[in-house]
Amino acid sequence: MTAPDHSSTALFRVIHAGAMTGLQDGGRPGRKAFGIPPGGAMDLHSIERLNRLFNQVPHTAAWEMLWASLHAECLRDCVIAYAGDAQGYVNECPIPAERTILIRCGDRLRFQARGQSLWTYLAVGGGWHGPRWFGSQSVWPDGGMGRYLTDGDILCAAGTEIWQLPQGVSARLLRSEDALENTSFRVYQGPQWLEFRKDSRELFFQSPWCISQQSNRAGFRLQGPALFVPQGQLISEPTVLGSIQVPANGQPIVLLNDGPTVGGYAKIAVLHPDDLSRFRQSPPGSIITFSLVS
Amino acid sequence: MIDSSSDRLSTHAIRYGRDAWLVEFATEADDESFASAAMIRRQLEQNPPPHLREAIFAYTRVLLEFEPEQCPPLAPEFFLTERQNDSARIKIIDVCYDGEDLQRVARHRGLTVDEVIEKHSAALYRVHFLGFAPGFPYLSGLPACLHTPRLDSPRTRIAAGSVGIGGGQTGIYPLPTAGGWNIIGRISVPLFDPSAPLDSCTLLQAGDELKFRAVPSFS
Repeated sequence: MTAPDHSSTALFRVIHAGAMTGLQDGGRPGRKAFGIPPGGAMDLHSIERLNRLFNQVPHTAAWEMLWASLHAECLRDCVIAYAGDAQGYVNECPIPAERTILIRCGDRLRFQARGQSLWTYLAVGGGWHGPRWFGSQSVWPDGGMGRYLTDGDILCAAGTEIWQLPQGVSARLLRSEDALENTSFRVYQGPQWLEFRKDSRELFFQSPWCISQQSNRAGFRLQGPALFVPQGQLISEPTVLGSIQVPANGQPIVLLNDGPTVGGYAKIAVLHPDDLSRFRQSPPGSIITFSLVS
Repeated sequence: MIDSSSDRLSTHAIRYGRDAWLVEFATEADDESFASAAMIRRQLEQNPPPHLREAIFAYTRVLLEFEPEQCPPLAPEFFLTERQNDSARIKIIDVCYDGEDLQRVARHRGLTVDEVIEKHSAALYRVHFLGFAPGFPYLSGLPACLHTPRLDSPRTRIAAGSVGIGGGQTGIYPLPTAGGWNIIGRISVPLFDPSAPLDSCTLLQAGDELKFRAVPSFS
C-alpha cells in the first residue's frame, strides 16, 4: 500500500484508532443559548501544557484518546508531544510524556494506558487539520459535529509550519498542577443548595463517592448513599459546566462538556472550574470526596 | 435607553458557581414570563454587563455566565420596559401530519384526526428558549384539548424533524434521539445546521412566535 500523496501534510495513518479518539480543543463556550454544549478537551490543562511546549495558542486542538490505545504509522517527519498517564512508544521504545519528540517517516507510534487517568492527548507543532464548528475543532458526533477516528484514517497537520519547529527532544518539562493522587474536589453551593435537607447536605461532603461506569463526555454519574431530593418539580433551568444535579434516585450526576444545556433536577453543588480537568481524568471506580470552597 | 427612575423588574438572583449568576424573573412558564424574558433580553443587548460571556434563558430563569473569574459581586438588575409587539418574529413551519401516534392522540382526547390537526395548527406557540439539544425549542401554547400523556415506554429512535406531544408540551426533535412523545407529524426543514454560522444555525430563536401549517406532503 502506498502512502496517500493527495495531501502534503498527511502525518500519520491510523492502524488502530482506539476508543473515542477525537480532536478536542478549548471547545465552544458561549453557545448554550442555541442548545449547543461547550464540548472541548476533558483535560484542558494537559492541552495547555502541550501547546506551551510548541509555543502555540494554548487551546490548539490535540487528539483526545480514551484509555489511549492509538496505534499509527508516521508518514512524514514531524515533531509531536503527548500528555497523559499512558505510556507512548516509538518503534516499541518508550518515549517521555510532555516533551517534543522528533518522529520519522515509517516510525510506528503507539500508546498503552496505565489506568490512572482516562484521557491522553497527542499534539503536533502547528496543530492538527480538522473542520471547525462554531469556532472549535472539537468533535461532538451526537450533535452532528464530526466523528471519532476509525482505523485507516489519515491524520494531517493544520499547516506547513511543522518544518519550522525545533526538532529533537525539548528539555522543557512542565509540571502538571493536577496531582492524580488528590481525590478531593472543591465545589460551590449549587442553586438549590438550601432546598436540600440538612442531613443530605452534610452527607454530600462526608461521604466518599464512586465514579460510575455509566459515565461519558456528557456527564459522570456518582454512586454513594442516596441523597434526599427536594420536593416539588423544578422548572428546567440552564446548567454550567460541573453542575452536580441529583435526580430522583438520589445519586448525583456531574454535568460535563457534551452534556445538556438545561436540566430539570436540583443542583446541590458546582465543581470549582480549576478542579474540572483533574475530575474528568478520574476513571470509573475512583473514590472521591467533595469540599466546600472556602 | 434605560431610565434609572423606571421600575425595577422583580428578580431573585442566586450565585451559580464561580462564574455565573442565575436570575429568576418569574415563577411560572406563561405569557408574563415570556414578556419579562423579552425585556431582559433587550436590556442585555442594549447594555451588556462587562465580561458577560453569555445569557442563557429558560422559562423563568436566565443564567448570566461571565468570563472566567469576572463574575460581578452583585447580580445585574433589570427594569420594566414597554412591551414590544414584534409581529415580524412569527415564523411558520410546514408540518405533514402523518405521525404514527396521531390516532392515539385523537382517541385519547375524543377528537377526530382532522380535529387534532386543525387545533394543533391553529394555535400560536411561543419559543421561550432553546436548549437540551441544539435548536430544540421549548414552546408554550399547546391547547389543553391536545394534552396527551407520554408513551409508556419511549421509542429508541425518533427521526429528526418529528413533531410530538408529551403531556402539556409540544415540540420538534432536532436530532435523531430516543423519546417518549406522541409523534403526530414531521417537518422537512432542519432545526439545526452545524455547518451554518452561529446566528443562523437554528431555525428558531428564543423570543420567536411560531405557527404550524398543515401540508398534505412535502414535494
